[in-house]
Amino acid sequence: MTNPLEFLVHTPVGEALGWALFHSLWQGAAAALSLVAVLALTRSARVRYAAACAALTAALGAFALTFAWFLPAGGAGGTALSPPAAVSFPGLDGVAAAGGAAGAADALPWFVALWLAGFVLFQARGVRQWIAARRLRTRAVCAAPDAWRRRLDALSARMRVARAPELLESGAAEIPAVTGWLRPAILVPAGFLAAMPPEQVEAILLHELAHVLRRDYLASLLQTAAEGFLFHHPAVWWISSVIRREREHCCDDLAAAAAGGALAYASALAALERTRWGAEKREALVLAAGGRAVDRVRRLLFPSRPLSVRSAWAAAPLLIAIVAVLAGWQGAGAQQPAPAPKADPYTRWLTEDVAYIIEDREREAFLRLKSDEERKHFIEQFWQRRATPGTPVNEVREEHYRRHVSANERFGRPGIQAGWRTDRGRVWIVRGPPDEIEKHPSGRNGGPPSEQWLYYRIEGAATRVIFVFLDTARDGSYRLKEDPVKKR
Amino acid sequence: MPSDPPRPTGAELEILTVLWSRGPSTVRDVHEVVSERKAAQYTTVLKQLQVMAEKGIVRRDETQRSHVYAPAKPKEWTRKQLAGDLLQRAFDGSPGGMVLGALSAKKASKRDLAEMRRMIDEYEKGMR
Repeated sequence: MTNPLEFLVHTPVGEALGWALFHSLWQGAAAALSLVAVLALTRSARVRYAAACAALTAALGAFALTFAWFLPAGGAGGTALSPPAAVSFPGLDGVAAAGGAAGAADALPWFVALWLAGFVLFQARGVRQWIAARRLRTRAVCAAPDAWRRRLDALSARMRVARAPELLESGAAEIPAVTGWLRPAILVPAGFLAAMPPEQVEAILLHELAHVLRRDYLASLLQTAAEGFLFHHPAVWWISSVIRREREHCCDDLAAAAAGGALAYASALAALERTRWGAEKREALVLAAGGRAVDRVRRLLFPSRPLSVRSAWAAAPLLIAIVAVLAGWQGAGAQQPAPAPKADPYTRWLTEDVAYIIEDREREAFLRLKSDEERKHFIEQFWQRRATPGTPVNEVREEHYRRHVSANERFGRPGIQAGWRTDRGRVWIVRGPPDEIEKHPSGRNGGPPSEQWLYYRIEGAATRVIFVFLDTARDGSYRLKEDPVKKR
Repeated sequence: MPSDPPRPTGAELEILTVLWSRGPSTVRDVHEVVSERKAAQYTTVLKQLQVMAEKGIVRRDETQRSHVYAPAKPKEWTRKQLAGDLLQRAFDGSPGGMVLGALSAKKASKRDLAEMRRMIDEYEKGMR
């Protein structure tokens, strides 16, 4: 009956992840806003690129730190006093309300599960792209003519690239590209070198050499990995697109300097686009966009003319959307029956951890406490009263939390109800694992699916007590038919 | 009219790339390029080209003393043919952001071309 999803997300790690995801929303937005400020201040491609990389690193770092922050300190306690739940339990009468409320706290696991699925997909996509890029340099390639390789050596020396990269012609590449980190290679479409005017080819080679010089391949690998972590955040995609664009601008600047001026280089770029225009229609292999050629030519020739205004403005609605989502989330939280400020570890301790075993007068006493110091002391006393004297570890407490965890694992219905809130979960936590279980998952004699739990002995009750759970709704919500202990 | 040639194998693709790059070539020419990157026997290349000619992947011009081979189909045709291939040999997947290029995958529009020309003219005038 254990649901793997429930098992995955209803753990301290899953919850920490949920909170890290939640906080990444404003963290990513803040990183993007700072980047917008830098972009408004400077036109230097190098500074803009560095700022964009810093923004991405900050967003990822904040995400990692938040995750670490919400992780329980580890060690003996297990789930005891783990980080606060999003919304505390709506009513104090835990058992009665158990079926009803599935609030934001129950929705969080769904976000975590979706994120995990997306994470796997995006990282798999990154690996696939990496494999495709590697394959690009080994399949359907041949060495470029000698003359061009000697030319590349000369250009490498001019650009101060320590070792000239391999120059390959490819039947698969649609546009010139650099691939590889330790042994980079420049790939050009087969026939490109012969068909294009030499000065245009040189302009392209200089640009690709700039990528080699800057080790951009490694940077783009790391960037793709980072995108895989924060793929849920539109602002992060925007930051990432700024990185890609400014990276090309940095290479344009280096290439223009080596080509003997912006005009020569920009003319070659423009001519290349004209030549491409004449070329036959092609199935577009979606490759990394180097940005619109016209924008790059404008930037090279007239650096003072505005061009990135558009992209800065494009980010505005995105940021507004994020703020709106956050505001909406906060608003929804405020409308919950239990207001957010109460969602502290102590409320959670009362309404979740020990909801089924705390006595009424204990609950009243706890609610009267004023300070966290008193509450902490109360909790210690609470377990002390139930402990077996003279043992170093409080087995009662340990066993209770063990049952709590295993109830969540066994009976949780992701997104609907946490395991401990179900009827079976409650009996499991209060009575422990039954001595015998009889399951009829497809019903018996035409009745609904059912389970019968047999306890040989229950304190204060008769022997051989049977709990009957019926899934009349046939949705996994096994309800206790009647409480055999109360009745007797 | 013969039907379309079958999809080339990995080794055949490499030879096709040489032909796309260098244009119509003799076996000696192809062998020279191939052996730049790996040890290859002249006879192996010869055999491969003969097989490819039989399959209709390359055309053989026999008017010269040494036969000249040329791709039977343009590069773009083969790319399209392989893109639909389940095996997707050399063309499998898109490297996406993993390759870095000077050119955008998207071609410039006519308006962009005119704009670039205008800016270059303006810049040149300004320099005089």
